[in-house]
Amino acid sequence: MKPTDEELIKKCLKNDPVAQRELYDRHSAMLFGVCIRYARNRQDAEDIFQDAFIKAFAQLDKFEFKGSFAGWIRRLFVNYALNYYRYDKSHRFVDVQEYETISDKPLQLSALSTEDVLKLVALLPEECRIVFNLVEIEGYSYKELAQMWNANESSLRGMNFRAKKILKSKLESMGIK
Amino acid sequence: MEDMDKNFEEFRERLKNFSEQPPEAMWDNISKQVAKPRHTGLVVSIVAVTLVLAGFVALLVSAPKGSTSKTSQTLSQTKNTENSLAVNTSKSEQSKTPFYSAKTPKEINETPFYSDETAKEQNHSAATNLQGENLQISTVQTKQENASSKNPNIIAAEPKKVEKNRNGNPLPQKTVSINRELKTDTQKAPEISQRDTVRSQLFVPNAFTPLSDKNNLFKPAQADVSDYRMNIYNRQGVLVFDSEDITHGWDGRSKGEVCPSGTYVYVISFRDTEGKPHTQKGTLMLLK
Repeated sequence: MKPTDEELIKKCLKNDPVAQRELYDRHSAMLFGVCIRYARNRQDAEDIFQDAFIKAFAQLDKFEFKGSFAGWIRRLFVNYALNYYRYDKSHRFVDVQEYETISDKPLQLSALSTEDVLKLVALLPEECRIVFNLVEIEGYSYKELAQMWNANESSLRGMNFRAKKILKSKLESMGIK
Repeated sequence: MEDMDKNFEEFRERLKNFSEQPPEAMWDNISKQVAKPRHTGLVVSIVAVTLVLAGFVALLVSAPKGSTSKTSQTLSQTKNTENSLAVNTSKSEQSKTPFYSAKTPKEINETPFYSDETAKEQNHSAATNLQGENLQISTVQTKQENASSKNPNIIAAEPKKVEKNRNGNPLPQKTVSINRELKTDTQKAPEISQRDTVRSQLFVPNAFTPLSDKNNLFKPAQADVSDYRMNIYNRQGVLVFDSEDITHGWDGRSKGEVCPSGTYVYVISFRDTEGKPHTQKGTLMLLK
């Protein structure tokens, strides 16, 4: 019988290394995906992933067992990824040449590779990409984001709208209508 | 337009469900920074004490009649070791201070680290947990070093090179002791002549000055090793340098900028000329 996340967490709080590894294995793929979406490049994604996981284990006692653990740790990772660039100006901007051009051949969306899907999102201007990720993927509301960042709700809406417009037009230019 | 909305929905779902397996090595790096069970130190201490007693009993059984005075001397030395380990145990439970804040730079330089597998097993929790229990190492080793001059079973090895700081003054030397009685298997302790040719430990400087003309690169002394890997972490446990080439040292920079002065931790893994794997951990000072 597979242990629940709750059982694993309780063991992790006692520093059980087997439980720690199991918890890591359960959520690492999803969380690495999160890091890739928010990071500017692959190296940053790996650094963010590593640092955020260490932080997650250190703060495991703060999880109150309300709601899903996956949601809790995902939010922790998203916050860490956002703060990664906010507080450390030395993190370099992505080299544009790092991304190859996406194929312009018309195709079905289902035939679009995962890598291409990510590349499309990576093409977005940084602020639009962040808002798009948070609103459309993580499910934050504009009100929540406005409070978190002391920002204007309508500015945030504008950024998300622009992101979706860019993505849709890019998809159209690839023949996906 | 409806089709586009539908396609966009699908696009969004794919992003939402996107996941990717991180590289294999990630867990190794993370697990090093994650707390280990507190009872491990106690268990290891108990095991070590048991082994010391077993070794002592074996010595008594094999000792010829005329050497009782030596035996009693060994007995008193062994008891000192046991006491230090017992003190060790209570200290590990009490000590919650992080490794770095308890030491001045001078103390750090004088703290030797075990490198070979047997001593590593003894101090496993102390060597691997860099955050709370590393104080054990200095406690155990200081008492053993005092005993080493009297106990014939302890082999002390001096490093071959004396590191000097910027003013030309020699930096404090590290001393590594291998206590035969604490070995976990029945193999003979390595002889000094063997240690010259088969390296179980690399000589690693304990400080460097990245901004000056000399001593501005941190790396172990050149040795014949394979599968070499060196990771350097800052005090927050963040990886600042990674190398798989023993000649490729750390210039003190991370992501293009020189790191702040202070204490950093290195973890080196390698295979010696016999193919045996070793791990060596320690601290270094970055001085500006």
